[in-house]
Amino acid sequence: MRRFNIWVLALLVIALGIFYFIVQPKRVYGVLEGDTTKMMQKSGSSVKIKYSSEHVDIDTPSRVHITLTTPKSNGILSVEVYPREDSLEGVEYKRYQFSITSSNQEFTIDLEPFSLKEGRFYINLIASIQGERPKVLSIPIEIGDVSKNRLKTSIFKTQKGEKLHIMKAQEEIK
Amino acid sequence: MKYYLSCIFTTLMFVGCGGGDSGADSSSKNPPILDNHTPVTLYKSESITPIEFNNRGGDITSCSVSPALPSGLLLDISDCSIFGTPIVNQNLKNYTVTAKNSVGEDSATVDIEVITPNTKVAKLKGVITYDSVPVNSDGVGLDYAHTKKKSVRGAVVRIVDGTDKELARTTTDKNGYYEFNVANITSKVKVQVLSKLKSSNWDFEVKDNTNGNSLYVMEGSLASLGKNSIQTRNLHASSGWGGSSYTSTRTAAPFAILDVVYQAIQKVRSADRDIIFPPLDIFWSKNNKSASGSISNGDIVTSNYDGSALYILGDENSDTDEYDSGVIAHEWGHYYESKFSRSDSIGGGHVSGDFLDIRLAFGEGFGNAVSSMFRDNPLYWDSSGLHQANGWSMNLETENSRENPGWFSEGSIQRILYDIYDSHNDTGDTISYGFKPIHQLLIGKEKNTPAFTSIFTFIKGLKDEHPSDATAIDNIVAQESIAPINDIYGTGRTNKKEYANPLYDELTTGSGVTIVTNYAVDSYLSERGRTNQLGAYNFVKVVVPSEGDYTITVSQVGSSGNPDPDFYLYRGSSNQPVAKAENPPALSDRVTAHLQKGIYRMAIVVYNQYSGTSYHVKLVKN
Repeated sequence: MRRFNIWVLALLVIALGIFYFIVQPKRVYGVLEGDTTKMMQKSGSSVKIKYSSEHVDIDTPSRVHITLTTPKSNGILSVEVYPREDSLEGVEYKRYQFSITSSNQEFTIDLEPFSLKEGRFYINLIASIQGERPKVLSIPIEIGDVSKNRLKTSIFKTQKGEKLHIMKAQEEIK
Repeated sequence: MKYYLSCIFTTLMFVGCGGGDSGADSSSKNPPILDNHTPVTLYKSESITPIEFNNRGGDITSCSVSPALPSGLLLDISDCSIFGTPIVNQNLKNYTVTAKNSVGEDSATVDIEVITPNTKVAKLKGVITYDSVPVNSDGVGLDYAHTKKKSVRGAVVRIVDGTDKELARTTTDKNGYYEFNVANITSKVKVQVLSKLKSSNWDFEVKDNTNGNSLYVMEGSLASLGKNSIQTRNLHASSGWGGSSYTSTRTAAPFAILDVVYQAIQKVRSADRDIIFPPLDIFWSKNNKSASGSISNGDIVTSNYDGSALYILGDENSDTDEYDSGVIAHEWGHYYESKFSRSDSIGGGHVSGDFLDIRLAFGEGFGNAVSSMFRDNPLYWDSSGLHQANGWSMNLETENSRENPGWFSEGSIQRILYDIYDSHNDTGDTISYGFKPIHQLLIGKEKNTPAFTSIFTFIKGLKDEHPSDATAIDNIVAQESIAPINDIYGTGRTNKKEYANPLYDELTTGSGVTIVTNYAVDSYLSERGRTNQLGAYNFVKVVVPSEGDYTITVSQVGSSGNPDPDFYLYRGSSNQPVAKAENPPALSDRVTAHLQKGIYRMAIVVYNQYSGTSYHVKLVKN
């Protein structure tokens, strides 16, 4: 009887472990937020964009919430969304279109990108209202250890200590 | 001593070779057949690469040379090669070597000269070009199919040896041409083109902020200068475009940016030949994107001038600006304005048709106008999107729709400024000043104006300097629904937003003035962060009657809400406040400062309270 109980208990622990592994709570390390009204900008569309994106583990969906607001009372708001990096999954190129009315000037887009790689990735967003200049924004998504996909540098240092980024020219010698 | 030993050795060799015929030669059935050698230039006191004669015949058993070789050179009797180190100069002279074996003999010649190294001068020249990608004919998106080769102008070119030691440097001319007269170079060299414009009056560099702030350099191959006295090496920077994406290094990008700066320099120098530009770094990277974050990661938000450096976008399929020359010139215009004139712009988001703070409206309108002046091109475009195929453009000359024109509109200001500059007269425009009068105004009256920089200060200064053109200037301004400007404070404006009345109040010691905040005019503008819209700030001309310590107070008339009045006091040509009040939210805020007698300008903004609320402003001498 006692041996039976031990086995049941062991199986229960294993089952709980498996259950936890499958449905373990999502860990959110932080939330990145941005607001185009608080950023330097080139002259662009009258669309104001706010976003938030969760910093999560690999293979875990990051909840990305985008709010677009316009003072316009009519027209069509077009929004193109696509991942900057191939390794960012769960988001593909998509064009959203919203009808603007005097009572409908705020629109939201929710995305859930994930990645099997760690690092900092981006979703590109281009918003425009017919007849206006587009507004471009890259929304950062952080997955796991963001230092993993930091840009690799390739600096050439001369004897004098100059730091150069060397590029090959097309050359003709005669 | 060495000289004499060589002479003796050479002489012995000559004599010995001539008489040698004693060795057995059973292996050769043919006489030697030597080919003549091409002329050789040798350098005094430098060990030579052996001069070898091609032998198409039988083995050589002995060899001789006539006349005697230059001192220091020796003959190897086993194969007729010449080696050693010449120690005296020798004019070009013909030498004959004679190879023998048991079957027969053959002779070949070589012309040899020996020179002192620094007397050997060669010319290395060429043209440097880059791929320039134009905008599509409709002004939207880049047109890679019509990429043109353009000259890299004014850039630093240098030659370096295999150890990357710099041997000489020069700059390209307006056609991208460079030329070196090089002496004493026997090693292989390569040509490097630095993304750098340099003279005694300027130093502009394009660097990679995502690669340790390294300077972009394109280089050719490591190759010999050849035996000819002139060698041409043309270098070209490719865009890297592969048809539907960038498939190779975007070498052209830094040089495309550099060429816009070159044009801007020339334009400014057309107004002042001796002007000295403060050094400027321009950071571009293919990783520079429209995101907030670390600059070293390329998260630069947008192309911008941050007060010390320029940052230019380069993110493919999102927003690249290296071929958007108007954007680059616009940002460089901000550098020019801040270094030589004065900008009071508060920055922030802005869109076409906005009713902007007069400081921002002038700063951005000026940036667009001067961008077109630098390039002598009224077309301004900004490409973006997948394959850089989208974007927008505007033509400062033909822009038909004037959305919300006025003294608060960046669009109005850029059209006014460009009309004043350009030689094309259109409706209401009969002025064609060119750049010099504009430059002189910017570095003079505009820089020192006691009011905030705006279209009012600019036009008032222009009219003062060109009184006979006052009516013509008014006519240009009138095209933008702006009544004649007759003072730097915009007195008498009627087409203003509610509550922005008057544009400036005047304050001196005494009873003070009452201002009305303007946030609630438009719900969209009422949100935090939109303080760059017209009326968000109230402006006050402050007249200080005598030097002394003063207290300035801004306090709400009444006691509603939890407002946060802040204010900033400026004087003269500086855009840094001499005093400011940024205390936590309260019904009032104050600051005490020692002030000189004279005119100051003050900007007041009230946070947390968006309705048209009244505030009392007082100046009290302590």
